[in-house]
This record gives sequence, structure tokens and C-alpha cells, in this order.
Amino acid sequence: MEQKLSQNDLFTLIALLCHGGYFWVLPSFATKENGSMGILSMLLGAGTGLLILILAYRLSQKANGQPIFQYLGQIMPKPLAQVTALAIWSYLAIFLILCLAFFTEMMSSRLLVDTPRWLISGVLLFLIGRLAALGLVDITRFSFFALISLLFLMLMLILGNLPLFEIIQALPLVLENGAAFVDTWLQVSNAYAIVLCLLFILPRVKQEKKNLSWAASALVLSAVFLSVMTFLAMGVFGQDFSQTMFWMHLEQAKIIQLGPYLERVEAIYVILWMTVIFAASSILIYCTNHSLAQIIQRPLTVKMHWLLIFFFWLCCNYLGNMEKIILLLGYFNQIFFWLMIGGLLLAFFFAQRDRKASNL
Amino acid sequence: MLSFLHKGIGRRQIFSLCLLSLVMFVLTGCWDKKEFNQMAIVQTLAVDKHENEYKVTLQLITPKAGEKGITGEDLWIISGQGESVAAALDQADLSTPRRIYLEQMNLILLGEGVLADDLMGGYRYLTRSHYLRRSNYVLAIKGEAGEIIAAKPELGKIDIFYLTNLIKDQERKIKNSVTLVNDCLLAAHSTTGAVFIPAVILEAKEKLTLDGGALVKNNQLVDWVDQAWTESYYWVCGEIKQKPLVLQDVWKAGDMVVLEVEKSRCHLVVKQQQPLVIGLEIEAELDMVDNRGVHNVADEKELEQSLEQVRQRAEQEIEAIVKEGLDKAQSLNCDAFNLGQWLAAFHQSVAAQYDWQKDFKDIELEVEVKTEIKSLLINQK
Repeated sequence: MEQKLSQNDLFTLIALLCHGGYFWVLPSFATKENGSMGILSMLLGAGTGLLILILAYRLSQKANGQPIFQYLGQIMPKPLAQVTALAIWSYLAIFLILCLAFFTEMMSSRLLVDTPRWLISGVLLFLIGRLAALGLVDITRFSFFALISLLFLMLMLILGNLPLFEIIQALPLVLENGAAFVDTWLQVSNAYAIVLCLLFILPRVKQEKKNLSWAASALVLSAVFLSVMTFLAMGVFGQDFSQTMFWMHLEQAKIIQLGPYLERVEAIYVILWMTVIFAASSILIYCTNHSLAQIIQRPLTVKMHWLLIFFFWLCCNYLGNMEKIILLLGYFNQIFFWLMIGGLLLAFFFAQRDRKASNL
Repeated sequence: MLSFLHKGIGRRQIFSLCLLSLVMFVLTGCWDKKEFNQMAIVQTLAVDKHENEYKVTLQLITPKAGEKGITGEDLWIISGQGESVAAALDQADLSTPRRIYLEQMNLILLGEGVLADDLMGGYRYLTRSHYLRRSNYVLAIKGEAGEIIAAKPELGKIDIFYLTNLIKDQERKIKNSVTLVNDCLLAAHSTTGAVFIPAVILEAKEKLTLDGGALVKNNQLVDWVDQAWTESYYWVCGEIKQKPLVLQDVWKAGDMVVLEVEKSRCHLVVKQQQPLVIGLEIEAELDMVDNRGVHNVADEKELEQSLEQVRQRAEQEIEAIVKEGLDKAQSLNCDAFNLGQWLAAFHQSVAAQYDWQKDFKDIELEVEVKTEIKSLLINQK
């Protein structure tokens, strides 16, 4: 019998899901048009993520331990259930590809300039794939270590950046472009919507009363962490920082000085961050691959797992430059996010109808 | 012992063995390794400009193999010229067999030519590449920046981080006294567009001294300021932690009191909105460290009076210093004190009424100083 996860494990997994590679660049996107108001759009986006989390939780509760897509097949017309499942899977897959592509891009453009991109993504995916293949219990064990790294990173950034922080650079909070604000809110919502992975994690978690609260608090904590970091970046680099920098965390790490002499510690920072990326990506791969296995109604074999990893590696290499990544991000925001939201709402609607029918 | 041979080796084991053998080659070291003694580590970069031609001068540390530490012998100075900083760096690269490593750079010296023409041009290329840290120090040089590095390389024998330590020492005494690349970049996007960059001068070709600085607005040099001006800048923008304040003729002609500023802080307030009056409230904690005047007083009342006289003189002195600096900045219409940025941050509706870059010269600024003298060198009989 599969080992069940505790509420602590659930908290760890959700907290790390909200720190994948995409979340590295989110502050840049959020503040580009909005300045400090971008932080508000990030918090609102996290709020939307919270609603999706509640929706996913309720849906998972109704499924009562069954694989979620199997449950959808029972309550919805078969073709509609398949389309819904595909919409959710494509959202997960593209999110995973984006996270990996952003991370690979950062590594190859900033840190490992001489190392071929295919090798960076290959090694990354091999290790993540191996971890994901071991199962959710091992992923959680590793994630716990990554969560400690994350807390250490947060401390390093705050202490390292505070000497250069000036509140007047982060103020005033002005909403200049309403349309851009809404766009950013939707983009951040899109990122936080990844908490729908709960649909695939929850069946493995012990049924306890406060599961939802634990998952929600992990999301809130992640959103607060990202907002604090962004506010810190505003106070250090000014409200126009996203015009001049893309990898905010990396620039923040560059100015960390440990004691009077130990400087240029961004490599240490990135190594620690890598553990966070490993954990977040392995959770994503686990959910993406298992969801596909549910769609095709076959157990996830080792061969299928590695075949999918190979597919993600190919996609990651195809997105060989920032232009292509941004293009995919555009499609992701405009099409796949809405398809996933539509699918999720439809599933919830059918689940509600099913409950009413069974009550009658 | 070799029982596995009898059992036979599975495909899985063969695959693992092959993988392990492959990994062995990789684990011997990084393929893109950069040996320490094969690198030319840039400590300081000087950028100059003459008639659309940039010149970069690099102070390199070139450690030799087997050396335990870096000595003055490891210092090397190279230069290059080109139509841009990137082209000049590329040319400089031709004169060293080692890879130029800019990542550890601490200091950028900007010559008068760069400051007068386009400050950002001096390091725009570096900001776009990943070499530059925003926490790098910037110094302005009256004349050729390259000369500071090239004219006196033996200074390096004393301390290869001479200039950096000079700045750090100043920062130890006065918080926010240094200017970083980040400050210059922030100024480029700020309401005021202005920044103060401390200057270093080469005295009699053997002594490097921090002296005054350059006022830059919209990436162009507005004027050079002397050390007296920087004092006013430190009172407003910095936090003085250790600085002497000498007061002459306090009680009677010939008296002298030396006060050490232990702590200072400047609070900004909007005193009046229409027309705008900004108040600069300076608070300082002082210690009396030398007294060549009144040493003994009869009673507490007399002590209080003597002290009050010192306090008043100190406040007048600080006020005069600050006012002089503000007047100079206003006469140049260059808000290096960042008052406009403060106003935009905390009094947005008021700031919206002004075009700060044009109107700064006409804004009324009121200076108010409050001091507290913590320790005395006056005894009560």
C-alpha cells in the first residue's frame, strides 16, 4: 500500500510548486508596466490562485480518492471529460516546459555561458526525472530539504539587500495603466493556478480536517515571500528595475556581501535555488505524467515516464532563446490558461450537479 | 566472490556500468574550468572619452602559479581604445594572454570626457552584460581616469585595493557617502535625474585623495564641487557616524572647541504646500573631544550657559554648511540631494504640481538644526 503524505508534506509540496522557474521572472513581468503596484497585482494573482486551490480541493474531495480524470469520466459525457482532462494536462505540460526553459535560459546566459544548452537541460531533466520516478514520498523528502534552502535564500536576500534599500525608490504606489494592471493580475493568476496540481497530490495525502488550510497557507506564504522580494528589489533598484533587468533574483544575489570580503555569492545562491527548482519541477513532472497516464487510462510505466521526459527535453531545447520562450508564454497566458480555467469550472459544475442528483 | 558471473549480468547492470564509466570522465573537473593563475582579474576599470573614442584602462591582478597570495608584483595595467566601451575592452583583451575577468571588479573610474558627454555611455555595455554588479563603486575623475591607475602603479604595491579601501573607509565614517553604479542607474530614471559622484585627485603624482565630486544631471556633468560642498551633502543625504566639527571663538576670541559628530540624521518635511517650502530638520549627537577655552565653571547655571553657547555655535555652523551646499545645488538647478524623489514618494499630489528638473532652483528650502552634546570637557567646581 502506498505511503500517505502528512499535512506537513502537503504544505511543503504546495510551497515549492509556487517557486518553480517561472516564478523567477514573474516580478519582472508584474512590475514592468505597473511599478510598485505590480506587487498588488501579484497579491491579487495569488488570491486567484487561492480560489483555484479551493476549487481543486473541493473537486478532489468529491472524487473521494479516485483518480481525478477517472472521476470526471463518470460525471461528465466522455468526450467532454477527455477535452477537460486534455486542457488541464496541456496547462501542466506547458507550465513545466516554461519553468524548465526559463531556468535553462538563465543558467546558459548568465552562469554556464560556455556549456551547451542541451546539456544543461539534459542534466537537469535527467535528475528531475529520476526524482519524479521515485514517487511522491521521495519528492516530498527532497522538497523538505529544498524548503530549508528556500528559507535560507530568503534570509540571504533580505540581509544582503537591506543595506541598499531605500523606501523612496519603492514609492509612490500609483496605478497609471488599469489595462496593464489587469493583464499582470491575469498573468500572475496563471502562474499561481499551478496549485491545481493538488488534484493529483491530494489523493496521496491522509484525509484530515485542515488539509485545505495547510495548502492555502503554503500558497499565501509563497506569495508573501515573492512580494517581499519584489518590494525589496523596488527599494534597491527603483521602480523601473524591470526595464534594465530580467533576472531579478540573480541581480539581488549579486549585491549580497557576506562579511567584509566574501562577495559575488550568486553562484552559491543559484546552487541553493537549484534545489528549489529540482523539487518544484519534479512535483510538476510527477503531476503531468500521472495526469497523462490517467487520460490514456494506463498505468505510468518507466518507459512512458522517460519518453515524456525526452519530449520535455526536446521542447525545452526548441525554446532556445528568450524570444521563443516569451512567445510560448503569450500563448500560455492567452489560450491554455483559459482552457484550463474553463475545464476546471466545467468539471466543478458537473461535480455539483452530480452531488445534487445523488442527494435526490 | 564472483558469484554474479554465474548469475549473469543483467542489462540494467551493464547500463549502469557504462553510465558510471562515462561519469568518471566528467567528474575529473569542469570542462569550462578557469584556473586562477590563467585569469586576469580586473580590480578597477577606468573609462575615458575623447572625440567619440572611448579609452578603457584596466588594473588587473594576474596571480602567478604557485603563489600563496596576491602581491603588488601581480598588478598589471592595460588599456584599449574603440568607438564604444565594448570595442575598447575588446582591444584591451588583445594585449593580455589571459582571459580578462570582469566579474570581480569593484570600482569604475569615470573620466571628465565621459561625464561631460554621457555618463551612461561609460558603463551601459557593462550593465547589459552580466559582469557588472550594481554595488560597484563609481568615482569621478577631473581629467583622465586612466591616469589615476597608470600614473602611480606602485601605489598598488602598498595595497592593491587602495582606492576601494579609501572609499570603504569613508563609508565607515559616513553612511551613504559612496556612490554606486546602482545610484547612477537610479538617477537616470528618477524625478531629479541628478546624482553626486565623489571625485578622487592625484596630488603631486604620489597621493590619491578623495576631494569633492561631480554633480551629474541627466547623465551629463553639471559642475565640479569642492570638499566643503560634500560636507553639506553628507549632512543631508548621509548619516555621519564619526566626523570632527571645529568651532572657533566660541566663548571669546581664540577659543576653540572640537566636537565629534557621533550620529546625524536629516528628516525632510513639507512645511508649506503653496508655495512649496521643504524643511530639512537635521539632528546630531555630538561629543566634545577638545576644548581650548572654558574648562571650569562655578555652578550648573553657568555650565548650562556655556554648553548652550557651544550648542548654538554648532547648530549655526552646521546650518551654514548645509545652506551653502543647497544654494550651490539650486544655483545649478541640480537636485543631487534627491529632494524631488522624496517629494514624489511621500507627497505625490504636491510633487505633481512641479516639473522638478526645472523648478528645483525656485523651491524654498529651510534648514533647522538640533544638536545634543553628549559628553563635555567642562568641569563644575
